[in-house]
Amino acid sequence: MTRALSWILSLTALASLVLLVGVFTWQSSVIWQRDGIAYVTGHSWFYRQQQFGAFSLLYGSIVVSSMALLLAGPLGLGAALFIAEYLPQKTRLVLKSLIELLAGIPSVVYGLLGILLLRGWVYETFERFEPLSGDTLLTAGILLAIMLLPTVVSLSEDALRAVPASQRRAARALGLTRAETIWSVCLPQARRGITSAFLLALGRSLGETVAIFLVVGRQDNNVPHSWLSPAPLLQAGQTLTSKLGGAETNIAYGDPLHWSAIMGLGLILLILTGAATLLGTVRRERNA
Amino acid sequence: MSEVPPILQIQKLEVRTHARLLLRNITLSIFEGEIFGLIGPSGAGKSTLLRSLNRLNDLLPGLYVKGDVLLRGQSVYARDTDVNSIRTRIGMLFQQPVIFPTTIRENVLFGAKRVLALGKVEQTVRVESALRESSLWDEVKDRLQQPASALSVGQQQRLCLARALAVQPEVLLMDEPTSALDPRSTAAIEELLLRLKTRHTIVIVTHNITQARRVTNSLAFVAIQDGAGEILEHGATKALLSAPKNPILADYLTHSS
Repeated sequence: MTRALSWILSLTALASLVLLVGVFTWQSSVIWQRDGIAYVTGHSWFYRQQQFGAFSLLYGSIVVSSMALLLAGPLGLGAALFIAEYLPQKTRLVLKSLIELLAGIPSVVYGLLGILLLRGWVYETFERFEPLSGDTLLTAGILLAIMLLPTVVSLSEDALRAVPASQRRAARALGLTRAETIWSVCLPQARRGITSAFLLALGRSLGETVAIFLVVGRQDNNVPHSWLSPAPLLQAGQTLTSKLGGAETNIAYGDPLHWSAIMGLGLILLILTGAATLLGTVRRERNA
Repeated sequence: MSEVPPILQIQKLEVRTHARLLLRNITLSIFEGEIFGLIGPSGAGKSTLLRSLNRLNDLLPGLYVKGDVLLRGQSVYARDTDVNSIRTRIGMLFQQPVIFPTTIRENVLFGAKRVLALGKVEQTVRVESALRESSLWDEVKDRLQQPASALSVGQQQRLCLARALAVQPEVLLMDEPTSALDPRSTAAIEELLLRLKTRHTIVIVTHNITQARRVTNSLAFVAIQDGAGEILEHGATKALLSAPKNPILADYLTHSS
């Protein structure tokens, strides 16, 4: 019974995922037929001229998410180590539930805080690079990092706690220090779980919309002149989600070509977040 | 024997939690080269006592220790004692073998490599000597690079022993090291103990009176008295087992043999 039910439910989940991707593919078919891969690699998005190059949006999403992960990853892992390995049980539980509470704060609140606190700070801190305003890809990245922290901390901490206490005890009994034990026992054994935490956080960051929307500047066609050039970071930009969350989506609905270009962005987003989340979940399951 | 100072001296040791006294007034001397057994009913605090000797109880929050343990005259519980260096001098073997998820070789070197900073050649030598000492060498010499998890439980326990021996401790603590093993592995470990005692001092917790009789020189009987674990009798194994003075010990012996 349980077996059959779990099969039915798994298949339902899989079917709805396939259906979702199918709908987005179908809805975006017009733009794929017209531009092919150039739709993804094209640098210009001017809908009035019927130019739909999604590259700057993809770039924006990837840059903002990687920045967020780069900041939140080490910081979050450090916090998780501290909580899992150094804090006494009671404090650990209190802190952990507080951190999980943070994960539940609506993202629009983070966005508002971003406008209130972060925008000005970025503008002033990087003044000598002459940003036009505090609404930049960097601002969005930092804000997103703050939003990801609870996820990274909580999931990494779970991964560390999943390492049996007997392993730590055996290492300590050999005379290893706490730091040596963490380094040679806890981290290697929690590695899968920690990378899974990072992937799930990445999935979340790629899909995050409102908070980014409020601080990213929503400037189309911000693309670096050369790869790895940091210049665009201090300019206003646009991510897949901030684009999709904007007014243009409603304008596009009447025009089959424009609409399919918008739905194409949705498809790319779906694939990116889906891949990160799926990969993360699979690793997490295997770790457990 | 009393001319030689003991290698371990337990002095008025008391272990308690917030709510309850676990061990009361434990005083014992353990001499170099002997196998010292701790026997007694479950829950009397034998394992707690054993873990107090290398301060592994420190890892459990909420346990408080009073009194002291001297290792060759040096205080284990003094404020300025380096606990980690004490633990390299007092090795430990647990009830269940704890294998690190890596190769057999790396398992043997797990402590030695980090604690003693051995060079490459020394490492290889140490692996072989430790595995020989724990009678595992012939079984694993061709597969040192294979995962240790593939070994049987009995082999894993001997691997743990090799790992402890590789650090070259002065004293080895064993917490019912054969309770999870089949009779054959148990026999192998017991044989090993007898062979090891020429070079090592061993403190072993055991439930098994027959085992205690076979391998130990001295015994201490730990049992609950007035709500806390105490040593009710201790002395040479033969005398203690054949002519127990304490009535609780006599009772314990008749019921467990």
